[in-house]
Amino acid sequence: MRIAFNIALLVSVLFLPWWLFAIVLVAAFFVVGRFFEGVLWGLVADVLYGSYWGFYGWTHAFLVGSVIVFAVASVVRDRLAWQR
Amino acid sequence: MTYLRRSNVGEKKGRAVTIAIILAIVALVSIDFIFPSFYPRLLSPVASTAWKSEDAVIGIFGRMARIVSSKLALVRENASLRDEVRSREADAFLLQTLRDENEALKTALGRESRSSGVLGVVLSRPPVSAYDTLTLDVGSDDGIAVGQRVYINGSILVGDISEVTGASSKTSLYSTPGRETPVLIGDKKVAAQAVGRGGGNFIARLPTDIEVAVGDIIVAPQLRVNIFGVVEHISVGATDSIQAIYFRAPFNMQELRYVEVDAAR
Repeated sequence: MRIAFNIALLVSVLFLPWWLFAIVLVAAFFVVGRFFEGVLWGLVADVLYGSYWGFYGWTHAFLVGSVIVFAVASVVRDRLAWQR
Repeated sequence: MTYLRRSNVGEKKGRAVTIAIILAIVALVSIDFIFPSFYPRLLSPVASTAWKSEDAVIGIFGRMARIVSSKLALVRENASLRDEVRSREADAFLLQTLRDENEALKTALGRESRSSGVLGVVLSRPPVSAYDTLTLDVGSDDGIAVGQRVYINGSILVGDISEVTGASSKTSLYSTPGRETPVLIGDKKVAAQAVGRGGGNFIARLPTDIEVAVGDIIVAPQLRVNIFGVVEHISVGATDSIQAIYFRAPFNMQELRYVEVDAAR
């Protein structure tokens, strides 16, 4: 599953609309446990497409967003695991 | 009774691995902030190769699709496109005449617009990019430098070069969300600030007593003849003293294949 998501992220960051890449990335964080490489994929998206102007001034929007989603996903997964 | 304590060696190891991974990620991210050109130089050649091969693959499928299209549909499309070309020929002649006259007047007044265009192929474009950037296949090896302006069809000003590597460069479009650019609106060339809304769309605000109409041309304040956008919609409330002018650059982002980089500045 981890390898499949990494391949999907590689294809989506290069060829698919950014919002599809974001959906795949968020899904990866919630489906795969401790998906640390998701943060690196956020960095890759910022490096490939980012600019000085950023997104409303956010030059590393994908990186920051992936860190936040990773933290939220970790908490949610822990709670779900505990309730099982 | 003696109860054996559960071994927590495995938990400690797991925690150590997690901390090591987090520290490695922090180190990798820090490199981007300390050496901002390190990752672009590393990733751009790889990504450029992938984007170039994407065009070849799509080209193969496109040719196969054209073979199976109905002949009748192709004949109809051909006829419609011929009519459209004929109707635009007259406008093209007029545009060239006006352009020549403009250049002659500027030369007579001692203000020649120096331009040295470099043709670039667009490798990636929105919506693949969330930041309203274009990646081009020309870089510093071709005379491209940060700050040079980028045009479509010779006159539509769309952005400027924001990042350059040896064989590729990144164009930041003026329509980047939140980016402000000075423009001149309409025949009276009223000065305003265009704020990017993404995807070639802009908004500008002017007092309601300034007359602006849908279809007015917007230009950038520079010597070279250019088109920045065309007014599409004007919004003003009943009690507002400011009108919101919505306009967009006159090109189709999805069909964007080539741009010209003005390497003169």
